[in-house]
Amino acid sequence: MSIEIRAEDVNVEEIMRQIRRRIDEKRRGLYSDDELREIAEHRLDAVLDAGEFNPDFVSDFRQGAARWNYSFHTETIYRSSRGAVGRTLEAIRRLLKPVQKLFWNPNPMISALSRQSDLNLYYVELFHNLSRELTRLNLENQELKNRVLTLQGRLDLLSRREKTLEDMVVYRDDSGAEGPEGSR
Amino acid sequence: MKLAFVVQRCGEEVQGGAESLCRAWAKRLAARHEVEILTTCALDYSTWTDHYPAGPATVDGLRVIRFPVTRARDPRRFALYSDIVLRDHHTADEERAWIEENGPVAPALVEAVRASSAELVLVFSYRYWTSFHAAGAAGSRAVLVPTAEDDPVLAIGAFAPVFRSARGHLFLTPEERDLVQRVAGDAVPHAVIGSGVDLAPGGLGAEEAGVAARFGLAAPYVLYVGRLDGGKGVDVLARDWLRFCANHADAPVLALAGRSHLSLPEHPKLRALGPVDEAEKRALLAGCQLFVLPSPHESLSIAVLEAWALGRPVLANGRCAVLAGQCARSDGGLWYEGYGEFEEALRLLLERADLRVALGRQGREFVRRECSWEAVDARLEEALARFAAAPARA
Repeated sequence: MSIEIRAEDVNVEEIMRQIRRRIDEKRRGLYSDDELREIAEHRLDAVLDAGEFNPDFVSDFRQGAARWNYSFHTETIYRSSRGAVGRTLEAIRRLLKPVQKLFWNPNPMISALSRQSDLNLYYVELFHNLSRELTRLNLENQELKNRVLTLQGRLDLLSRREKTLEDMVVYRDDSGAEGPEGSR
Repeated sequence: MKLAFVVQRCGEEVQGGAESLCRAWAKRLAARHEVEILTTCALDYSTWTDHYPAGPATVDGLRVIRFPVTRARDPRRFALYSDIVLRDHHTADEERAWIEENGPVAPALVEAVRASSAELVLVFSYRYWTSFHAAGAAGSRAVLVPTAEDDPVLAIGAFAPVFRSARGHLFLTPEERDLVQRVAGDAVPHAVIGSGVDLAPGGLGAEEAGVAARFGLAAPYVLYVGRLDGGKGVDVLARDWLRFCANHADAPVLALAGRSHLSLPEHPKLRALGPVDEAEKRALLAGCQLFVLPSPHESLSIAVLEAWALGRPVLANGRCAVLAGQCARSDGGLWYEGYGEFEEALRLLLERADLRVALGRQGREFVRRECSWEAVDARLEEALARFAAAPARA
């Protein structure tokens, strides 16, 4: 998003609104499921785009399995997509199936490719969830770090106050004053 | 009208904002009224030890009477009570103790206020011992000039009766008025006065360029002018600036002009110039790309007005409502809350020369319209006449 400014008559409140909108777009630290998914996808983009990776492939993944995965059945290897000619071709292939089986057994290959298709679906789902969980953990980690910093600040403050009080008590005793007036 | 001013310090060397404002207003009012300034002998606000001789003196053509400080500030005790009163649950006695520790304790000054025949007593900076007791001694003649900032001192309960019993309040900005009225209510007559600024010609002449060169500065640079300490947000600014430089290799130098109470990191894009005089400050302001003010607590920034008077845009800490309000009202600067906004706003200002020019022009127009001394004089006269005519408050 670019910030649009008409320089002849600048409204700074409008610029500040645009700046905040821009930051919102980039912001990390959104916690709803939708926002989390968005962040996770941004991070996935950052990882995948770093190499020589076709970005369309990533967007295909997000469109649904039909766009990128293949379905594999026992008849898939005999099919043709050439209309009427293809149908004839398929009939011939089916007729010659017993002859073909004299030379090799396609069943293990069919079984393996079918299994691989299921695995592809499973891996994509797994990586998607892992990426989301990792993002959630990152955000929680960030929040915990901030809490530790806040607590550390509070601890420093109390330590400083304790030290001052101790010093004042000693100071009063050394000077022979009546008592630790400053202590509470 | 006979007017007395009460302020914690007064002298040629005193640099504080409230003290400068007191002198400036006193000087303007002295042209039409009988004016005297009642103050302490202190110069250093961190100890309040006597520096000037007690008794009458003349400062900037004004009659000043100084009174001795009977008790120097013990920084250790002051820090302790500040911890307790400003950051923790506390009692009314501890609040009174904080006011004592804050100082400057000058009982003779309070007696002088009580004995003064002035019709109105203008008491500057509510937070000091002098203001707290002088306002009480002046009674219904007290006009408070709180110079309040959005900090925890304002929440100290002991000050609320002082605010409420004053004859009138004079504020520097609408945001300061809102702050004070949040704790003291809006029953006291008041006026927003502001401060005047001389509208000098803008632009960078040979003389201004020479000053920058003398400090080893080459354009472009971004400028901060003021005290270099944590209270002014300079430590956070330095940290944010280095973070910005790490992400933007072409970032200009940040020049920090003023007395330093900090150890700043060594970095080629960060330059501490040390104290500068008025002419040097003006020259540096005239030559900077933009003026940055990171202070989280201000009741009015004269430096921001001076930057605008020279046609320079401003980037200010938006956590300070006064600075954000000044920028919004003038359309002369941007503001930020946190590093994200700092980076975006700064990047925009550095990339867009046309935006810098437009903001500077609008800021200058704002100063011309709202901050001329003539306008300030008129507002002051109207408010004081109104306060003087108003019935004394119980």
